[in-house]
Amino acid sequence: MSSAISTDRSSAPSTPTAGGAASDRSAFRPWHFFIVGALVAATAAVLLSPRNTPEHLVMLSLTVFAAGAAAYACYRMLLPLVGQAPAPRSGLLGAVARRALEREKVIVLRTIKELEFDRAMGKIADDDFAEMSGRLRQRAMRLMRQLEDVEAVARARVERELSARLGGVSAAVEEAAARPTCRACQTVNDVDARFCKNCGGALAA
Amino acid sequence: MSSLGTFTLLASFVVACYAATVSVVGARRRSSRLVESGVGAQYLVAALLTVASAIIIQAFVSHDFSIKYVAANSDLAQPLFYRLTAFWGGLNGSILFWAVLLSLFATVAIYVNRESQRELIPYVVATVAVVEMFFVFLMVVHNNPFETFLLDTPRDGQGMNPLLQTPLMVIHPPALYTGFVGMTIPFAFGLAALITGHLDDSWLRAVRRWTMIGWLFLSFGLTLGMIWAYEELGWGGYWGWDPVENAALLPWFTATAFLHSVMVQERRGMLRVWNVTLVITTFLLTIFGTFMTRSGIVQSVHAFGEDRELAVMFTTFMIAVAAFSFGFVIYRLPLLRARNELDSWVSREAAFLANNWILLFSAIFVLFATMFPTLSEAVMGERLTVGPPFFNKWMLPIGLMLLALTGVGPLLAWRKSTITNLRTQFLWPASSAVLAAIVFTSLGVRFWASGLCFALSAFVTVTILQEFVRGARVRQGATGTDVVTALIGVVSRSHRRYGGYIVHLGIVLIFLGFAGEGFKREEQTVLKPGQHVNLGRFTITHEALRLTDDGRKQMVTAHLAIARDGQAVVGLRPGKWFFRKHEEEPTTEVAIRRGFAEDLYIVLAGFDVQAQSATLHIVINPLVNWIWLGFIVLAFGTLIAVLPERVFSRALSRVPAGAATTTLLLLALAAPLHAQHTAGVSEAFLVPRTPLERELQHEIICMCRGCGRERLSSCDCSLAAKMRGEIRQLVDAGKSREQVYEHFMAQWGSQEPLAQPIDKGFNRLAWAVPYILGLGGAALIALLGLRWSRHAPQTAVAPAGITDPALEQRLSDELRDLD
Repeated sequence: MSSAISTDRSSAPSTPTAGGAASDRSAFRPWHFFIVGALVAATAAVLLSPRNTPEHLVMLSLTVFAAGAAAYACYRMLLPLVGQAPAPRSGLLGAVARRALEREKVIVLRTIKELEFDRAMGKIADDDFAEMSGRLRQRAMRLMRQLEDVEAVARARVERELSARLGGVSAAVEEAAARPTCRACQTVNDVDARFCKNCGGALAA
Repeated sequence: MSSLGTFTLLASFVVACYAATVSVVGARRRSSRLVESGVGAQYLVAALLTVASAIIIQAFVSHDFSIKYVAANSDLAQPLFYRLTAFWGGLNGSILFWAVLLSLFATVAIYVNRESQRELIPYVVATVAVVEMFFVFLMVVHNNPFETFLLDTPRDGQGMNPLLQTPLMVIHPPALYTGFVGMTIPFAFGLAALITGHLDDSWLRAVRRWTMIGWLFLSFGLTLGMIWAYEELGWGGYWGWDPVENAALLPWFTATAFLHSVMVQERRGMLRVWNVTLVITTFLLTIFGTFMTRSGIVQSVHAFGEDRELAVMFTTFMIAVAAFSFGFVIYRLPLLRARNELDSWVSREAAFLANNWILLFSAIFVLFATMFPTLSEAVMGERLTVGPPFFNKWMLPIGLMLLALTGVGPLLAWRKSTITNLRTQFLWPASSAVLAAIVFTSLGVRFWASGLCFALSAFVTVTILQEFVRGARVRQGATGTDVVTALIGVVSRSHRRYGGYIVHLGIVLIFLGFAGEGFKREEQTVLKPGQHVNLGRFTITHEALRLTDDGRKQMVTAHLAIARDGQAVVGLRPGKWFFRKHEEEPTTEVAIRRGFAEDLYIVLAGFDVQAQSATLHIVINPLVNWIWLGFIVLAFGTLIAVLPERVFSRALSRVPAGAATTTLLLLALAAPLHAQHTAGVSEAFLVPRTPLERELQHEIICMCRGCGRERLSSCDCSLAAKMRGEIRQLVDAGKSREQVYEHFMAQWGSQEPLAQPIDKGFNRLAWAVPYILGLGGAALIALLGLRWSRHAPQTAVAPAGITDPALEQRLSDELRDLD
């Protein structure tokens, strides 16, 4: 679970929504330019302004800064149209799906906790608790399964790409051969799966 | 500058149009380039509207009277602070202010959710952009704040309305507007979910926090409005059921209903259609509120004036929005159909259903009663008044029912409560309620309304305390820490639940403040220097009447000495201010001696400089400060509920949440408050001599149209004085109540002078509709409940289980670690 989150976060800044910014944080980034521009323009406006009461100058500078923000927003609006194509969504979707599953799982776990809390406070009958808690636990376990699946798919893809880059042998073929099939329901599972993603039965090594 | 401003508005309209189009096209073609560009365009709209706002403020700062709006709302003598806030002091500027707040709020919401709600974001952007387009369109074609004089630029402006020159009026509109625009975000997400068909619970999670923020601001705005009415209008109360107050209250009701029913959907997957409907309704009501203030459709102190063209544009927009969004609800009904099952009527779900019914009933009732005069005028051609007595008659029992549910709800279990559960849960709260009822009635408090309210308050308070104590005990048992740590732990872990309880506590305090209204005492009297009057424990002595001038205004002040139980406590100085250029509308300076138990509230209703006499309207308002205190508690609770978990755990050990809002409100309370009720030139105030005369002064409203339908007992304009004189003559001539009514109805040609319509003819509709609505709603809920409870037997079916000991173990481990 923790590894899932960490890979997920590290991939986030390279999404197209980061303003087309370079991933290198120390580099000069577009919004720096607009801030500098606004500073220069505000200074010029203050120097050239015929009135020089403090409130007037402050408002003038704020107006120029708002204009700077508008210029940056304009750049943000146009960049996706002319810049390089954003990263393909497939990889991203995996991450999004995983995050959604994670969130869903945390919510289910919290609900279970809350239910236990309610029972401890004497608000819920024991048989109701057993029924509701059982259903929620089942849901939590299903989510944990799905998460494992998603992770396995991601890992498999990384390995496939890695081996392809290394110019190795056709790893995909080997991998397909290595994928274990469930004896009970004949579902083809991922390489490193220990349990069947369909029926939950243990896979023989 | 003005042409630059107009150009910015035009540009933002074009960009908003672009944002809407490109987002929808991008979403349909699955082109992330277009979607990204649409998001950028939304940011650009926000930035452009900010530039436009900066330009208009700049014009105010530099006295650019060539712009009509600046000339109408400021003058050379106006202090800088009020020149800045004059931005939202008039109609045109307030529309711009609304639009800029919406764009900024939406920008933050879109920025925060752009990753987690990737599928919805394009449609959220499109929805927000369309709403922005509407408001910018209004400005471009009809209410351009940058409009200039073609000839003859004035040397000086007309100055802002003196009513608005108070610190409270500076914070009140932004708070209320933020609340209003905050409700656009849930609507945008809800509509996006409807359009995309992603109707699982994820949009609700994105929306819930934003609804709470909007709700908090709405509550804040309403409270500030109440304080303003109390401190400035000078009629001794804080809520007059004025149409515009009602307009802000309507979305508050539906948003509160949504915040509750959303829990049912999260927990049980029920009420999906209902929740979407509530979100749409809330948004429509915020637009309706804006419409009501600005179109002149109703008469009110707040209204900006009559404007037919604007009314047409707003109506078209509202109909279009309603048709489009409810059309989508119907289209998506198959997806929204959820597993609805009600196991028992004694369950949390049922309590929430009741809560929703009451809140929605309140909203529809208030809407109906507010619009009834307009309706009556359209149907019968007769304008009449639906005043506070009518509202109070209905809202009092409704409020008490809601208060009772506030206590009952948290004690009930989800699904069903058994007898044992009920006994353990209700023992303490119910006993304390009975005890409180006995104690208060034996102290001489009438049971109906006040006594019941105190009993219910005790019930809710003990419920909340019990929840905290039992929660802390359970936690203590589980973790073995001390009580305080356990309490903090339990609040931070279920911060939404416990934040909600704190909000309930705030509501209790507010209700106690309302209950104090039942013990209000009033006195109107004319005093010459040296004379005194007794009211309650206070003795008020008139010392002198002073006339002063500070260059901007002339001030007439009565110097009063106040003694409590015979001991001098403080001097109070109620006054009247005559602002330059607004001499015909002097403002009333209320003097208040605040107290935890009661406020002594004195208004200088009239004066005679020659005789040095002062006509005083003296009110003792018990418990009124509890309302403001209640809001502070409510804000604190909402902030606890709204803060994300990690922030909460980090902030827990440092500053208490809510410090900022609390400080702000305290500052607002502590700030020197100027009097602002503009009244006509003062006349001697006729103090009622007989009970009938006093009652009639309460039952007949002032018809001057400038004071917002105040009752004669509190209005101090010249027309009110004349009408009071007529009442006295009629009463002295031995006329009955009905004859006095008839006199005024004949005089004004309609029932309008009466504070509530006579129960006859078409008006019977006003009296019948609440019953029909209430009973109809209850019947509908009962019907739905019965239908849902038939599904109940299915629940026993256990889902095809995963039985994996290893996974079970992992789940148990994770549950244990989750804390």
